[in-house]
Amino acid sequence: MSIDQHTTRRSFFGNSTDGMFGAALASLLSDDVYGRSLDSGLDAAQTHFAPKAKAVIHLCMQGGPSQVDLFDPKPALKKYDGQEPPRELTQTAVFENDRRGQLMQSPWKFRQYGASGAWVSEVLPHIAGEVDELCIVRSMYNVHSNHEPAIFKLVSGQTFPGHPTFGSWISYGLGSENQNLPSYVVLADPAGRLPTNGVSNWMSGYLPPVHQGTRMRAGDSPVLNLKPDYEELPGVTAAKRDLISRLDRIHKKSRPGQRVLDARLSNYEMAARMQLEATQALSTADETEATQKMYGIGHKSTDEFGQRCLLARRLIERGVRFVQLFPRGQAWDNHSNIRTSLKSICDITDQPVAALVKDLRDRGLLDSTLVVWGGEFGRLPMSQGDLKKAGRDHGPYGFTSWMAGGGSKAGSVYGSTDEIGYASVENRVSIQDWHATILHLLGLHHEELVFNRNGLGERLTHQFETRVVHDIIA
Amino acid sequence: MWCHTITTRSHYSIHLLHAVFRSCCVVAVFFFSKVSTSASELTFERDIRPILAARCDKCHGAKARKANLSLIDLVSVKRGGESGPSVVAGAPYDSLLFEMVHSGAMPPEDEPPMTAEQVSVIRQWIESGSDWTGHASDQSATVTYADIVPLMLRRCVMCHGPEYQLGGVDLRQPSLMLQGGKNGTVFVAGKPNESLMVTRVVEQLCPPKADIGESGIEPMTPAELERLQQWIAAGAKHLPLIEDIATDEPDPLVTDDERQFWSFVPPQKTPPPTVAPDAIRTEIDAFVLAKLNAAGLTFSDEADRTTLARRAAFALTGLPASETLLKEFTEDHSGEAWPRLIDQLLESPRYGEKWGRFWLDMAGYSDSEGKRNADSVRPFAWKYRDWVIKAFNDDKPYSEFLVEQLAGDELVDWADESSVTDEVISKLTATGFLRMVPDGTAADPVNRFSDRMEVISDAIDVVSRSLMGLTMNCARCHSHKYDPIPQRDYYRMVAVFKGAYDEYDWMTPHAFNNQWKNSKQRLLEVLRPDERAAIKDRQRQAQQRIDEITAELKQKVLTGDQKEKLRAEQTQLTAKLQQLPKIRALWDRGRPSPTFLYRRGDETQPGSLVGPGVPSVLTDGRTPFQPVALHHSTPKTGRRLAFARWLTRDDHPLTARVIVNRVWQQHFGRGLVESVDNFGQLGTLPSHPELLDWLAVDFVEHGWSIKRLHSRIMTSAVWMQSSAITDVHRSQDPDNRMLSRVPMRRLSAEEVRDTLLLVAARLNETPFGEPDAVDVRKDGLVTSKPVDGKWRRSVYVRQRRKEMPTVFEAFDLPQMTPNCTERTASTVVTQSLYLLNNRMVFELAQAFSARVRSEAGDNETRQVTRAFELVLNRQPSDEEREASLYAIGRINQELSVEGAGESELESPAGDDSKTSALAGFCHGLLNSASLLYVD
Repeated sequence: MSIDQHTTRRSFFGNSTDGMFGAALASLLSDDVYGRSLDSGLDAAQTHFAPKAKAVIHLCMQGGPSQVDLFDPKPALKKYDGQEPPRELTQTAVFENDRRGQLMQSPWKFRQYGASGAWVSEVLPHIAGEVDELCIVRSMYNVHSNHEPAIFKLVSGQTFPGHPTFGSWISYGLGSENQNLPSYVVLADPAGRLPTNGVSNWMSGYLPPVHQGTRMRAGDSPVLNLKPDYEELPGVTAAKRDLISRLDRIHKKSRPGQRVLDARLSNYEMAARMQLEATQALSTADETEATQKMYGIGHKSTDEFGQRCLLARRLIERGVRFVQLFPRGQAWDNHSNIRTSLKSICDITDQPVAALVKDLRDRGLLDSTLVVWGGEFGRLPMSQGDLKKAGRDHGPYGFTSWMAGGGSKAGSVYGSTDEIGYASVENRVSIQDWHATILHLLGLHHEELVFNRNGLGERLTHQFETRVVHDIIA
Repeated sequence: MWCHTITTRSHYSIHLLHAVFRSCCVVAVFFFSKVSTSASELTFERDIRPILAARCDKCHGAKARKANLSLIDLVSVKRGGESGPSVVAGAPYDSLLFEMVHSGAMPPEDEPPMTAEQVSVIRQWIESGSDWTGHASDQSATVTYADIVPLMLRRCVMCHGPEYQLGGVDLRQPSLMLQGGKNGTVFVAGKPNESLMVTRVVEQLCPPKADIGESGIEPMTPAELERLQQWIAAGAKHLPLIEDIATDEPDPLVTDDERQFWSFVPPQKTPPPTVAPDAIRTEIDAFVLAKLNAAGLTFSDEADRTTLARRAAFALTGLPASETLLKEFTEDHSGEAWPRLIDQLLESPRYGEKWGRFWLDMAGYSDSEGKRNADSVRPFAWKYRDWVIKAFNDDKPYSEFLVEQLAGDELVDWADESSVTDEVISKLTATGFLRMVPDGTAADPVNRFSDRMEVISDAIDVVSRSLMGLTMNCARCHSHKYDPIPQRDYYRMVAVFKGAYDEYDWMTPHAFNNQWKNSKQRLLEVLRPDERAAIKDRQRQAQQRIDEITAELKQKVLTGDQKEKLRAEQTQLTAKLQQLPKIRALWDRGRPSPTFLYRRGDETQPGSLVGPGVPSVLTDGRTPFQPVALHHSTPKTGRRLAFARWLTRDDHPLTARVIVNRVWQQHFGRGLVESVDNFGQLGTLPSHPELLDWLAVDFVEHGWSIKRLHSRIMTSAVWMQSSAITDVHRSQDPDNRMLSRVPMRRLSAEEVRDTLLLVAARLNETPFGEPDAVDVRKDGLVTSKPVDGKWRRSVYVRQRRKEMPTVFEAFDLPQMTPNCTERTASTVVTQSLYLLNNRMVFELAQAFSARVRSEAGDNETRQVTRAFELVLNRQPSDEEREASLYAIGRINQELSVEGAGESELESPAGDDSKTSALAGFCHGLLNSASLLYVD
C-alpha cells in the first residue's frame, strides 16, 4: 500500500525538503506521522514513456466557439440557408430544442492558408497565418449542451465538480521543474470576472491540494497573500521572519525525526524566494517593444489578452507545467448578434494567440510546449433568435479544437462533421480521447496515471472508453 | 498499487463492452436475418455448454449466480444477467458473453483465461446463430406491462401522475389507467391506433411542445412508441408486477462463504492478551502492547502533563487548554486528575462544536447546493448543523443519532399540527443529513433524470461509505467487482429511499415558474402550536399596520419624506410576513414509484423490478426486509425506519466497527482499519483486529456513547504516550503502524483560525443560528465578516461551496463532493504566506499584543512569558525567551531608526500598538510551528 508505482518512480526519499513545494513532499515523508503515503510531491518526475511535450498552455475558450464560422467551412449552409436541418442529420440531439431553427450560412468567408492549405475563416487572420503549426481537430464532441456540465467535462472528464482537473492531473504526473513557482498556473480575467464554474476550473479534487491551479495576475502581488496585506517597515518584516525561523529551529531541535517540521522551516524560506521569482515572471517590463507589439500589447482590443499570452510564455520558460488562460466570461457564447459578438472576441484573441504560437516557435519552445485551443463545445449550424440579430445555440455534437506544438501533427486537419456541421461523423474525438492524447504527448499513459481513492484507482479518463488519437501525433 | 491497477483495468473493460454493446443493437437485427440460412453444426449442448461448465459454473452455475447471470442452459444464456442478454445471435462482437471472454475480462484475474480455441468456438457458435432456429420473435419477447411501467414513469407521469393529473389522467397504476380521464379511456385494448395514449404521442401533443425541455421530459422515441402500440395491440394486459425482494429462500446471488469475510461477521469481544500489568492502564493497552512486545518494542514514555492537557483540549474542543483547567490539572497529582480533565473537556459546549464538525464532514455539510455555477444558498441548512452539535454535546447514543438522521420523519407524526413538540422538530431537523449532498436540480429548472439520479446516488454513497464503510456506488452500474454486493442490492437501497427520493416524483430545492411550480420545496413549516399561534398573532399585527400605512399613504397631506418612510416600513413588514421558521428536511410521502434496476446505471435501460432491502451479504440471506408499519396522519412507507433500525442493531457487523474506527482515526491520525471508508475486499485489513472488535462491542455494550469512547481511548497508555520519535522507532516502527508513539498533529483549518481568535480575545463564543457571512475580495481573498469586531467559531461560518474562506482552503478544509471522511494535512507554502501576510492575522496579532500588554504590563520578559502561556499553554524555554527578546529589541531598533526619519509611517492615528515591537513578536509567535503542530 505504501509503495506505489509513483513513489518508486519518483524515488522522492532522496529529496525531502528542497523546493517551494518540496514542503508538500516532506509532509508526506512524515508517513510516520500520519501513516499515509500520498504521493503529493512536485519534484520533476519520470514519465511512463519518452514525452514529446513537457508543458501545456490551455487556451480555454469558454462559451462554445462556432466551428462553422471559424475552422469548419460548410458550403451546404449557403445552399440550404433558411431551411430546417434535415432530421437524419440531427439524430444525435438529446433535446428536441437542439433541432429547432433554420440553417444559417456563415457571415464570413473561408480560404485556404499555408502549405497545408487548411481552411480558416477571415475572422481569424492572424491564426490563419500560423496554420502550418496547427493540428486542427474538427470532430470533437461533448456530452452535454449546458455550459456548466460541459465545462466540468472538458476540464475534469466528468460533468459535475469534485474530480481533479486535467491541469492537476498533469501536475500530479509530471511534478514541477521550478521549485519556486507552482506547477499549475491560472491566468484568469484580471478584471476579476471568474469564468463559468469559477474556481472549480482548476481544482485538484481528491489529488493533493498542491496540484491545484494557482491564480496569478500581473502586478505587484501576483499570488494571493504573496506580499503583506498591511504596511510594515522592511526591517520589521525581516526581524519577524528571523524570529519565526529561530523559534522553529529551537522547536525542531528538541523533536528529532519530525520531518514535517523541516518542511515548515523551508516553507518560510521558499515564501521569500517565491515572492521574487513570481514577481519577475509576472512582469513584462523586460520584454522588447517588438515582442510586445507582436502580442498586440498597447493596442486597445488586444492589450489585455496579449499581456496574458505573453505571461504564459514567460511562465513556461521558467518551468511551469501547465498554464491555463480564460479570455473573459463566456465571450464565445454567441447566442445573438454573432456577426458582432463573435467578431469581437476574435479581435481580442486572434493576434495574441497567433503571437504566442509564433513566439514559442521562434524561441525554440514550441517543440516542447503543447498549446491547446478550444471550448467546451461548439455551436449549432442553425440560427437562433431574430434573424437580423441572429446567433447560434450551443452545439455539443460536433465542434473544432486545435493543438499546436508539443509533438502534435503540425499543419494537419483531422476528422470531420457532417454536411452541415451539426455533428462529428468521421474520426470522432471525445473529451476523454482528447485528454488521453494530451497525456500521451506528455509521456503519460492515461490508464497508468492513477490515484488511489477508497480502494479505487481514479484517473482522468474515468470509466469511459478512451483512445489515444495517434493520427494527430507527429 | 499493483492490485489497484488491475482494478482499474478490469473496471474499464466492462464499461467499454457496455458501450460497444449499446451502440450495436441496430446492427444486430441486421445480422439476424442472415443467420438462419448459414446454419452451422455447432450446438449449445454439445459444443458450448462443456466450456461454460468448466470455466464459468463456479460463479454462473447452479450454486452461484454472479451478476444475476446463469450459464447452465440455453434459456438462461439467452436471458442473460443484470446487464442484459448475453448473446446477440449472429453478432459475436455485440454479445457480452463473447466480449467478456474475448477481452480476457472473464474468467476473472485469479483464473486462467480461456484458450484461443475455446474463445473461437464461442465466436463461431454465436455467429452461426444455429440455436436460434430462425424465430426472430425469440429476441423481441412479448411486451408486458412491466415494460410499459418505466415508459409511463419516464415520459408521462410528470403530467399524469402524483402531482398533476392533466385531463384527469393518472398513468401510474393499472387501476388508475383503466379509469381514463375527462376524454374517456386512454386506451382501447387491441386497437393501438384508436388509443388516446398513442394518438396523443403520434400527433406530438404529448408531451406539450412548449414544455419540452423545461421539465426535462422528452418525447417518446419511435422504439418506445412501438412498444406501447405492441402492448395495446396484444390486449394491454396488466400482469401483476413482482418485485425482487429478500425471501426466506437462500439468496442465489450471494454465497454463505462470502458472508464469512471478516467485516461481514458481527464483532466478538475477545479477552485482552496478557501483558505486564504495570505497563498498562486499560484493556486497550493490552492489545497494543502485546503487539509492540512481539516486535521487541514497548510504549513510549508518557507525555508531560502540560503536553497532555494541550493535546486533550485540542482533541476534544479544538482549542488550547484554558488556564483554569490547566492549573487544576497540573496541581492535582491524584490518579483522578486525568479522567477529570477529560470529563471537563467533554462537558464543555466547545466539544460539540469540534466533534460536530467531524460529523458534518461525514454528512458533507454545506450551506449551498453546489453542482452549478450559481451554487445557490441553502436556507435553513444550519439547523441541521446545530442539531449535530447539540447531539454531540448531549452525547446522544450513536444508534439513536443515526436513526433520527436516517428516518426522523418516520419516527414522529409531524403532519399532525396539534401534536408538534420540540422533539418532533428536532427529529425532522435530523433528516437534514440526507439533504446535504450537492444538488444539480437546484439552480436549473431544466433538470434531467440523470441529475436526479446523481443526487440519489450521492446520498446512498454518503450513507454506505460514512455509516457502513462500504463502497456501494460501484454496484450502481454492475455488481461490485470485489465485494459481494449485487447490483440488485444497490437498487434495493434505492427503493428504501424512494418514499422521499423519487426521480419520477421529484421535489426541486426551489420552486420554479414552470412544471416545478408545485414543487413544495424541501422546507417544512412545522411549528409548535403555541409558536404558530404567536407567529400568527404577530402577523396579524403586522398586517394591521400594513393596512394602516396603506390608508395613511392615501392621505395627500404627507411629504415625500414621510411617504418614503412609511413605504420602507411597509416593505419591511411585508418581508417579515413571509419569514416563517422552516426546516430543511427529508420526508417520506408514502407514494413511491416502483424501482427498476438500471442496466449499466443507465436510467434509459430499466431492468428488473426490485423492492426495498438491505445488502444481502450483511444478513443471513433468508430474512425478508419488513418496512415498519406506521399509522400517522400522512402515508409513509416506513422503509427508511426499518433500514435505520437494522443498521443500528447491536449485532450489526459494520456500524459500530466503522464509527469506533473513525473516532480512533481522529485521535491517532490513522484508523485501525486504514481505509476508513472501505471495510471491503479492497480495503486494508485492521492492524489490531481484536482491539477493533473489542472497542466496537464495548461501545455498543455501553449505550453507543461517543463520549465514553473518547474517555476509554484517552485514558489509555497508548494515547498518553509522548510523540517523540526515537532511533528504535525509526528502525522498528517507522510508520507507527504498531502505535509505538502518538503522532504529532497539525491543527485543522478550523483549529488554526479559532485559536488565533481565542488568543487575540476576538472569539465570540455565541453558538448556533444563521451562518456568518463571508466577504469575497476582487483578488479572490475570502474572509468571514466580523460582528462588532469579533468572529464566531469556524463551524458557524457560512460554508458556501464556491466561497470558501481562504484560511480554510489553505489549511485543507475539503470540498464536499459529496462529503469528506478523511482530511489531508498538507504543509504547503500557501499556509506560511497566509499566516505571514494576511491582514486579518496581522490585526489579530495586534489585538493579541494588546491583551498581553494589559495582562503582563510593560516588562518585556513578562510579556514574552505571558504570550507563550496564552498561545502554547507553557512557559518559553530559555532559548525561546532569548530569541523572543532579541526580536523585540531588533524591531524596536528598526522602529526608532525609522521613527527619527519619517514619523508619520509608524504611528498612524496615535495607536502605538499597531507598530509596537511586542506586536511584531506576537505576530511571529502566531506563525510558529509550535502553535501549528500539537505534540
